[in-house]
Amino acid sequence: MKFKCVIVDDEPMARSFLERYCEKKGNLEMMGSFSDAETAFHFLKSNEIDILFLDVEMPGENGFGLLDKLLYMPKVILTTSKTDYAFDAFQYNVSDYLKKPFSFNRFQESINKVAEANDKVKVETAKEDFFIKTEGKFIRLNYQDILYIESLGDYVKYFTDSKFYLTHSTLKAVEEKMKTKYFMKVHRSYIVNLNKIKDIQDNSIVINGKVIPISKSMKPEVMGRINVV
Amino acid sequence: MNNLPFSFDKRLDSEFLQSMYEGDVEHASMIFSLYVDMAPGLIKDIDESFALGTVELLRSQVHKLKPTFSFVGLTKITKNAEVLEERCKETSDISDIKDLYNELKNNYAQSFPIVEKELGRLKNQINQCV
Repeated sequence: MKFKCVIVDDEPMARSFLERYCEKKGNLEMMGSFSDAETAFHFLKSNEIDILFLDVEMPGENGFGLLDKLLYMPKVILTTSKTDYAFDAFQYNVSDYLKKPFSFNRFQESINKVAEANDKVKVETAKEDFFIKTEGKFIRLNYQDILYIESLGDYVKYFTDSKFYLTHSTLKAVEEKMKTKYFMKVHRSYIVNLNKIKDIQDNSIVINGKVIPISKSMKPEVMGRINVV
Repeated sequence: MNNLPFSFDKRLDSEFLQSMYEGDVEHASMIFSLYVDMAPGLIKDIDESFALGTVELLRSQVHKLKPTFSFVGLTKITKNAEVLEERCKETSDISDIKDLYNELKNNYAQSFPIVEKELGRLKNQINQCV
């Protein structure tokens, strides 16, 4: 598989390195290389890509400002000469963090990480069901029957059309197991089945009449994962 | 890609350069050329910020320049720049950063001819292979 990628960095030498590394790596298709966030945004509005190599500190809008505006979330690899952005990187669900200057080997590691995560999603999507322990027994649930999952402290509730199941677990543990194409954590208390969304308005999702909040940081990824025509 | 072995000048961080370019002499030549073209202008911008006493602007310019030095094997100047950038975050008084700024400028001025000479050697290497 070839990953479509874009570089955003105001520093020409840094861009040159990334362009060369992308060319050498082979499985990357360079869609564009931009020196500022604004120009990159215009391109990304009408071109969907897989990987965004993004500098943070740039004149004008910074890298995170660009992510805030995107309506979908590609895999983001931050390329910066500072290490101060760890918290923001976590908030924006960044795939990797390359501290400039970085070698070709380090670059390859980063791409391999993205590719592995991509493969994992594909494999897990192939499974159809799983078991949860509730009321003293194991119950089989089909992924496609779940509408959403709600966190209640040390418990989580799985909601289907007809009923809900309470089980002793945390949303974090569930999130790991539900990493498929269809499920996504949209808020610290909710994971939703993207196929069951009735509508999205401002910062909330409606599934089966239930209004579920979306975290501000997750909104771009939610919008990126639904099929907007 | 030019794959003939090329040994970088030992006054530069040759080990680091080998890890960055992995024998890609054409790319090294392109980057060294960009440095020779751009670095004097970037240093001039920093000079102007220093003269105006605008510490935050100077910090931002140093931040941008920081990895640029490493791309041509001037990893020690990248460290100078790191220290200067950090100091800029702690003060708004330009006189507090004068010594660090001068150290960076002196190291830059001393190393520039080495980078220029290395660019010449890289170009020669490419020409020999054509």
